[in-house]
Amino acid sequence: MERKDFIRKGLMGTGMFVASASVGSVIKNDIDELKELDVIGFNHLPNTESKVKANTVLHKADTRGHANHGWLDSHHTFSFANYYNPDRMHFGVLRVLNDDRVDGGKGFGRHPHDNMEIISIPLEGDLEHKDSMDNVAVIKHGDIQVMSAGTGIFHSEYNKNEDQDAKFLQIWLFPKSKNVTPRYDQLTLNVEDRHNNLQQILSPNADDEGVWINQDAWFHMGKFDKDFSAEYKLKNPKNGVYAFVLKGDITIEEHALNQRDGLGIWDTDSISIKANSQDAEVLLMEVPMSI
Amino acid sequence: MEPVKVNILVIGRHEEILETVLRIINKSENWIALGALTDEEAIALFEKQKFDIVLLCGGIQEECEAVLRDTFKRKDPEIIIIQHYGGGSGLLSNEIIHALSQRTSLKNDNA
Repeated sequence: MERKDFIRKGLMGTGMFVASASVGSVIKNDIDELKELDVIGFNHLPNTESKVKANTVLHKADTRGHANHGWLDSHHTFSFANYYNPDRMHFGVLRVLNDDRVDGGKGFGRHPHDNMEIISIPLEGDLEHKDSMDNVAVIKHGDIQVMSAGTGIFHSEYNKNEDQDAKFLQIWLFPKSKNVTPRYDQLTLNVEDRHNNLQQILSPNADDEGVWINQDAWFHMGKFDKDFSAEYKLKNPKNGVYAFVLKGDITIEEHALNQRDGLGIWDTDSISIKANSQDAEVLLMEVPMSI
Repeated sequence: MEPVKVNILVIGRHEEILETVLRIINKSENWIALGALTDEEAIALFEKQKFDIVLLCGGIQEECEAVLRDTFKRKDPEIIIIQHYGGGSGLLSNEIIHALSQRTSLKNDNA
């Protein structure tokens, strides 16, 4: 829509939103305002039943939503932008799990967020971050970035390299408290610490391992030798755990998972994990199940 | 047959985010959004015309939200009031489509 049309609609019959019409710069949104995609819905996808047990959902990699904008190729585990599947809206407070590839030099221009905990985990390449709190930073593989959008934040994320794709996970959690003061943080993790180990990368506590966020959530990452097995004990048995396989083959409980499959389990106090391939990698996200 | 237009009242305290949300919603041919930065503006708009959905954006304190919800529900018990998360993000269309589908299900159940 052209700006003049927006102003006309915004003012239509009321005069209530006069202030907005005087704002000089239009803030773009880099997802909703990308080129129009044809499909809104999920019937083009192998639409399997997510719930495989009373306390378990399984999202196979090829059943995720997919949007290829050229410079941005994104797979959505949960409904996002043009992908809408009422069966896949969220897992507890985990609302967005996007698996993104961004072309060299391209990225998301300055755009706003509020009331969301936004976590970015680079898998390959480098992302350059700028925000309205004057943070300028580069995040790379092994780093984790968090933003509490709270009352409102503007940021941009670009692929720092012209000649190399950037791949990263974009994870959004509903916040524990709304309207908090916006906050940015990033941390370089020692990736060796996750070899045959579940390395904590995020928690609700500022003095705990990894970064912290405004939500009672704990994230762990592991990279395992073939046949290595582990058990993850939930910090709070009222929470659920969503496991996302980054690489290789892994069995969680009795569910054999492959690369980019997701499995959510709740009503349990622990889960078993076994690697079925060498250097299998997993991200575990323990989150509250009620919003 | 003309598609049914959906009227959406968007309330938020952050002017630029509110502007973004309105612009994105109004890009959809069948959605018409009006915005209010204050509770007084919002209630005045609600008194003046019929809305299908109220979208609450960031910055609205709990006590204000409670008053708004109560006021809107008293005037129109069928109004759908939803919280918008993310500030004009990739969730916006989803939230509206989901709310509309829930309303349709509710109406079918009551029919």
